[in-house]
Amino acid sequence: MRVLIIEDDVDTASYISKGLTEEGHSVDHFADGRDGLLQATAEDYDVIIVDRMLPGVDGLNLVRTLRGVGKQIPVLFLTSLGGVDDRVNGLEAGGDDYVTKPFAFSELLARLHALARRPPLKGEETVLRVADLEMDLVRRTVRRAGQTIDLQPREFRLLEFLMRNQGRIVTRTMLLERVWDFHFDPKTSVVETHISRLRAKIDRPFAKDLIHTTRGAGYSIHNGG
Amino acid sequence: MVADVFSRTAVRLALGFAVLIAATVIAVFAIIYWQLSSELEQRVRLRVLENLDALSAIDSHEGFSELAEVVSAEANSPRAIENIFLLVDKDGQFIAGNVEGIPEFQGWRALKVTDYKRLIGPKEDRDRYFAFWRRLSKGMLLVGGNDRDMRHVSDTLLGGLIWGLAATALLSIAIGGTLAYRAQNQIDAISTTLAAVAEGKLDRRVPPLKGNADLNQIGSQINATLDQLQRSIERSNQISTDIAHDLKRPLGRLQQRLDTAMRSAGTEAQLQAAIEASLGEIGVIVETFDALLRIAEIEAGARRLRFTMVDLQQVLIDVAEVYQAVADDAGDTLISQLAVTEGAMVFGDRELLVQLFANLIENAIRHCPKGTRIVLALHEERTSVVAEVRDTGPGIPLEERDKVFHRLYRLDKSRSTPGSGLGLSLVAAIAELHNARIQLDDDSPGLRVSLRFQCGSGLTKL
Repeated sequence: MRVLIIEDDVDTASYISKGLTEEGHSVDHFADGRDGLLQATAEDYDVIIVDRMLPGVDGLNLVRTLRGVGKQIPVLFLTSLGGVDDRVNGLEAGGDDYVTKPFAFSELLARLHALARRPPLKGEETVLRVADLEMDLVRRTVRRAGQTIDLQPREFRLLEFLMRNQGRIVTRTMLLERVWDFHFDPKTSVVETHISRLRAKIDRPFAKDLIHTTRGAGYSIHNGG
Repeated sequence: MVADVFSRTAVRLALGFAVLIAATVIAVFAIIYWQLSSELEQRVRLRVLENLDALSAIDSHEGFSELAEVVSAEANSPRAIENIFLLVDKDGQFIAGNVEGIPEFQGWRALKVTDYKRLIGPKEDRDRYFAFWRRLSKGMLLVGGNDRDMRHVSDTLLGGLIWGLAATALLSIAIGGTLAYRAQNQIDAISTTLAAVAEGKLDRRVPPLKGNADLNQIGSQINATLDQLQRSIERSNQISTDIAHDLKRPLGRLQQRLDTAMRSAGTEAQLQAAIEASLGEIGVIVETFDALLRIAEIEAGARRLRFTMVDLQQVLIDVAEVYQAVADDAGDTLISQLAVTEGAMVFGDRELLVQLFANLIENAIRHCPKGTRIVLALHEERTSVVAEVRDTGPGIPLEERDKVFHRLYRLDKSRSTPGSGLGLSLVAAIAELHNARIQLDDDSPGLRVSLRFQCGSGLTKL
């Protein structure tokens, strides 16, 4: 994917830039808010990473302006402001996601992948599929190899989120936020517990596992190895 | 210094009262004077009229010349000091009397020494005479009575007034001065104390003050505030120390790990493991900071701006749903006892309320032995909803129940489990933000944490 980084902290910028380049993505970097904004409107990117505090134009205004001129490029905010209000303000300004410094690169990467998901699901797709696993979003049913699988509402949401991001890693934090609406770090194995319950229903009775764990990064659902 | 004295409240009050009292005294004297003098004037007029009547009777019964005799005798008698008499004929010519030179007038008139000429008696006379002309058969008769009694009364009253005013002034100044002096002493005591506190002597307190109850109350209020201030300063010092301590340990471990990794040229896998472990340590440090910042943010109270009506029952149902499985896996049981039928609406922040209950349940799961029964309960009272998290674990000793809400405080027995010691501080901060009363009780056995929320929009008044 093509990523634009607007970040005045050189260390952070090169940390992200290096990581993304190694992953095979193309990266442009601007340190000044005004330059970054011009670049964002001039060229097409898959995702933009914006620091909240920037010289020139600050992050919030940058994204507001971007949205104001009709640019719908996904935006991920980056900030050292850890406050709860900061997340809400960022999202209200038109940001799509939010990562607080310091962060693990795997977390940022997973979120970028989730944001840059292109092209969007064709039309109003109502059935999600991974191998022989099928999720009907209208009837709220899940079947694997023709067998109906009974899921709790929250398990359904968990599986839906994994399936919508199939082939991509989703992190523990992303799951906590999107599935459980938890905006804090639980001290118990909430995610692990529920993933393992889900696995017991989705994978265990069948020959091939679809839900995979990537150590230190997160989970993904796919038909591969 | 003088200007200083007059700017003092007590002095100004004392002076104000002195003026007020003086005005009152003067008013009272004025009223008495007015009433007495009109009464006395009335008496003088009566006396004059009586004299006139008696003399007229002589005229009508015994004749005008007899009257002239009597008037002449009266004018020479000692009574003539108090009265003036003047008998004139039809042409206004003097016949008898002790004064002359008074033209005819109608009704009453008060005559001064310049209005007549004294024939008999003192030439100098400060008295005024209330006089009245009466027409007789062959002339006119004037009788006047003096106002000496009235003058005596007013002199007496004036003397009394002056002494009274002087006494009032002295008394006011004495009382005001004493009050000002005392108040000044008390205010000095307060300001000395505050100055000492400002210099860093946090243990200084305003001494108990005699006399002025108001200032005394302010003094004890200041002392209470200073107690609070001292406590929170000590606490924040303690927190800084604790943070330093808490961070020193993982930082120390981090340093050792990196140092070891650097010096022992291990395999790539070993290096990888060392780095991963180091990142884990850093994660702990970041987490502690995050929690501290979050508590600070919550305590700042700005989140109240985002408050909405939240169904507490639904929050508990959601949290219970998440943690049922977690508790099961940990070998515990989580039971919901939600005794509210129509939902329990409170004014608050859903995200934080979820975190609050998640925190309490996680504490129970992490700090209690396997097989613990955790109950999440909700019931309504008259104006409040009470949410409880109970467990059958070891509980918290009575003497430590207050301390567990302090930042970074950890019970000795929980030192072995990982954790920042910030969980309950966060719970307390969230509860406080929601104006909810938090209480720890012995559930024999186990711990009962209860949170009492105000029902409905009772919180909007915040």
